[in-house]
Amino acid sequence: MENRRPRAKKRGLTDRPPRFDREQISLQVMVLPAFLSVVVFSVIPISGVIISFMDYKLGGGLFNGQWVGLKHFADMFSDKLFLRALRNTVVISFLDMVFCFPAPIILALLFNEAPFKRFKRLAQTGSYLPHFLSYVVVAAFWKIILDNKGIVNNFLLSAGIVNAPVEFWTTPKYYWPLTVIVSLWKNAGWGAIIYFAAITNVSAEVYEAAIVDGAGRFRRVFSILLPAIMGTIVVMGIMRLAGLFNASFDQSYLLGNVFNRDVSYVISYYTIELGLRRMNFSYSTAINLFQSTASLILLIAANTYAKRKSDASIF
Amino acid sequence: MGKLRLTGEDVAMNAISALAVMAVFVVTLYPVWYCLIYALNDNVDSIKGDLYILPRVFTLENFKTIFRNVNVICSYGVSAARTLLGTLYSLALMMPAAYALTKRGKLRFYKFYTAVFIVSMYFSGGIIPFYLLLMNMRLLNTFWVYILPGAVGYFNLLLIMAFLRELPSALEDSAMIDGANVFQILIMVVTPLSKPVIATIAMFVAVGHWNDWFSTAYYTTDPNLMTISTYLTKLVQEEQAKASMQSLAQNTVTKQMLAADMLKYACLIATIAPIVMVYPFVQKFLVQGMMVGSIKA
Amino acid sequence: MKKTIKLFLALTLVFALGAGCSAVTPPPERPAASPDARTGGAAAVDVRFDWLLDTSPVTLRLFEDWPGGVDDPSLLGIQKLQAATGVTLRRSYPTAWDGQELILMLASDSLPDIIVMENGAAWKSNFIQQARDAGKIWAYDDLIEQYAPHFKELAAPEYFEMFKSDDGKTYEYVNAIRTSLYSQKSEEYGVVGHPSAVLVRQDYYDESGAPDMTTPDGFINGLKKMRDAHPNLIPLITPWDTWGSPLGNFGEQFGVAPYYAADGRIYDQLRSPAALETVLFINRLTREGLMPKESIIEGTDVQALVFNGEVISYLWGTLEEGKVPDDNPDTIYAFLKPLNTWKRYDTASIGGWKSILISKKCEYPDRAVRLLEFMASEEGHKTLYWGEEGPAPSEGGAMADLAKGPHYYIDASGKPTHYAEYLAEKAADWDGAALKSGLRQICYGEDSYFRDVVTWNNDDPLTIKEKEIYGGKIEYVPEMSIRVQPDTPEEEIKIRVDQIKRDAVAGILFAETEAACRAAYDGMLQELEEAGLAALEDYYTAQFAELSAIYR
Repeated sequence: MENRRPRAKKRGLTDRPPRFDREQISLQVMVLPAFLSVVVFSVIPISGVIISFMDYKLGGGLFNGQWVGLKHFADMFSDKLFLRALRNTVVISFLDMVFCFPAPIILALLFNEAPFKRFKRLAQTGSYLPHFLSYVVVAAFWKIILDNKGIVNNFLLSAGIVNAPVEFWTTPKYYWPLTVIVSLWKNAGWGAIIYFAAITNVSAEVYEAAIVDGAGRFRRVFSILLPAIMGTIVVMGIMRLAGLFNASFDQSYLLGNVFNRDVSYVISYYTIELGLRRMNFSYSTAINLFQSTASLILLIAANTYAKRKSDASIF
Repeated sequence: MGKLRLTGEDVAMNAISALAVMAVFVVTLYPVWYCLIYALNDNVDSIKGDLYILPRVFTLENFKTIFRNVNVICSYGVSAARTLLGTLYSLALMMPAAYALTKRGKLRFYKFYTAVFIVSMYFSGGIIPFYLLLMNMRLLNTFWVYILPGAVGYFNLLLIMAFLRELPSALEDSAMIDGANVFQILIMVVTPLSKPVIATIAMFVAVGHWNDWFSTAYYTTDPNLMTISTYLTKLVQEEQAKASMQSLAQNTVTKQMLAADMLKYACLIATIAPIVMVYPFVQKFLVQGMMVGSIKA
Repeated sequence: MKKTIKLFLALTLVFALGAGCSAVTPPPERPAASPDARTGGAAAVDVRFDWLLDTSPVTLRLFEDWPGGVDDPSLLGIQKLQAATGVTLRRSYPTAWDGQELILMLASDSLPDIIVMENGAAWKSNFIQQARDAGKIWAYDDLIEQYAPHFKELAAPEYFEMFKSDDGKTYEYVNAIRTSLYSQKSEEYGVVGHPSAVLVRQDYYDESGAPDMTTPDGFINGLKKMRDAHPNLIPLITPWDTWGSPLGNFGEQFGVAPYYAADGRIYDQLRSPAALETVLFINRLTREGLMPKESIIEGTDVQALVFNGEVISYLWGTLEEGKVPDDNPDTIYAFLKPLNTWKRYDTASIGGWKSILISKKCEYPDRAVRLLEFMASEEGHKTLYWGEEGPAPSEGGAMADLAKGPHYYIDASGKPTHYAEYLAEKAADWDGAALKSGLRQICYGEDSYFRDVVTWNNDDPLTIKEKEIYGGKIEYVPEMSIRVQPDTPEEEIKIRVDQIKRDAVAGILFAETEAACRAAYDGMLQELEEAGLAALEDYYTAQFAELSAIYR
């Protein structure tokens, strides 16, 4: 077809904008429904953040109420309780990133390499089930296992590793490692699913060519599979990093108790306790706004870094 | 192709990975088994605890309690309908959008769209503005309140995009040369190749719909719109509320009252069961991947 | 320009979607007013019964902010209410216990007719404040003036005094508060209620020689003896939700009053010497290994442990007496005599279970307030709590069956009293008894005296034991019924103070040495000072003076 100009190379950002031809309209139409859905249901309600600069009272309409500027933010950062929650949130998120981010990747790779196909299928189905257990049940389960008279302690005592039962839940220094373990257990299998999908993308030919070339098992994993799913890994990684200021409320509420409150109290708990439960929406919206802004900054930073180091990035 | 010789490396890798799989199996499946035995055990006996392998006093009473309400069938129906329609709708919106967004060089306003998506992902006005919006759009207390809002998550879009970028461009290019337009490429070339990611995202979205008890609890009042997740959540919360009232009143507590709390295990199994039944079908799409890399016998 | 067109198209699309797709179901069920004309009722038996002025059928919608209920119009209690006042009560409940639904209802101006909240809910006072400011709820003073002028005669005055808003009007009706009528009558009758007490397994207690546990040392030694005989059991366990402050429910054992009065000023109770004594005592318990950490950990199920026989003694209430452990059906858990220094101070702030609001969206505010009047009156309690009257046991009266009764009789002194059979049924199965009898089922406007008077029975062995042990040791101090108003600087301080007290519990009670315990306690007092306790105490002092003028 004569009229069509084949677009052989990708356009850089400094080139002049693409033409508004039929192809362009098609592409725009493709994006439009999703975009509209987001605008209507997610973007329009964002206007509600305005109440974090006001003293919002229920029942008076969304834009009534006194303007107080940055008062809520000032209150936030001068509240020792909030600062403690902030510290805990960041630490727990960070530990989660370090340990729970690589785990699904490793799991997916290991599963891929394992023999016994049928059993693998069964195990894979099992691996994501903890994700569905509500934290109420998860907490109950883990508390029983790690109880002073529970299985783990019985084992430790009889094996002579310790002399007295380890008080897992009431000793503050164990809390953070415990969150990592419970998180791993709950989410690793579910997180691995997306990596499974990415692995299927690797064409069998490339893989077999590598075998013929003499690449050993380990080599195949690291040089073929891993790079192939790197795109997915980077995307997940950036998103994870941006979630540094978010930590699970359920985990904090159900695994935490009066003894480890100092280390288990997180921002989401603070927001719910001092914001929603006291019907102080301006305050809870202000805290959310802080978290959102911080996440956004992290996202942009992580994305920029990823762009420099590799060609995989979000935008 | 004959049987490949197993190297020492192979044996090591096989062993490590097999052990890992076994460990995962036990560690993750056992807690679900644990819930199952409590669900099938007489509640009053369950108070004693110490159940690890099998129920002590087998009973179907817990499940009977859940299914006693005639509306339960309707709730399962509503949940299923919502999951199916909601997932289809989400995919129908997200696939084309993701495809278009991967054509970064060609798509005008790419930066604008991306910026809006990102903002939508992180910023929120909270539940009150959202509720008022739903109210003004007259979506409250309708079936569509389950389908329309939240159909597009930028996170899922990104995953689809990441996957699409990895697809070899050769097929697309040849289709273009053959004169196919963008829609045709999307439907006939890209989509069939994207089965793994579609299956995965479909699973994520479907599970989100299935487990969402929040929408029904706060956005609907019509009992015909009750979903199974809300129904079960309500059951559990009811028992907990009644139980906590006893301790506050410092009144005498009977075993029956304590036992009622055990219902949560049966509720959990009732929630998980359909997902477990459906996942094998999803797995078919992912199985190809699991074959790559393993030694073909 | 193109962008505007796009936007316009987009919005059109959105509205088309919204209008077309939404199968617009009719709005949620609103009270359907019966078309029957509202008849001006004939004069009732008692002219004060305002609800009899209009008993035409009407439906009122009630939202109770508690997930544990079910809306069942066939319930006996609902039907009794209908028969007496013509009001059909339709009730709705939230799914989760977080006040979220209330928030959404207020924000979208769709409150039901009547709202019932837990008096102790953290969000209650702010909610009422905001609802009032937005003009969404009625002031009871206005409603009563217009529609139910006899309400204030039929219900104790405290209901309209204790929960005034800062504009002097009452917007919430809090039920079951400890009124002076209650205190007076209970004192007359010699009732002590069912105090909090430590229950111990009788066989373990006897085999250790029935030690005297009425002194701190005696208590600790006695518990130690029992623990030594059964080292695998928990010596003493407490419900975690009693630990809002380091005193828990043990303050009474040392006679700690709600506030500490000294040198003409009112101080926080934790400053009193008795409070420190209490805390040191509990610390001794934990240091000796007699009270485990589970006692203060949220989620510990004391009752489950008791049923499983893992417990030697536990803290609960005297009503608990009589529990039979699984492994020895010949023994029971009985409550111990308290320490010799036991003394309890009752204020009108005790009780107060539910808080009831009437919203301006109610189409029949007259019926709503009269319904409440009915529920609060003695007449209403006869219907909803006492049941059917029958002859005294001495004349052969007894309860035939739960549904038809009779349920109570008038005793020699003229007091209504439940039959023993009814009380036994109730103790065995609360819910079942309520279901079958329709009594104690609809509990919104209840009054503590009218509700409890019928359960007082000086022939009941438990009551006899309670009177013997606790008689004369309970003092009613209405001048200490101090309330902190919402949205005031005092409330800010109080919230922080309560938080500090809660957070200090673990550190103080489980300190490893007595010195550490004292240090932690002083540290907490220090923190309280820094949070502004002195200002709060000024407020207490002023309030105390005011209340003293009213009550003394």
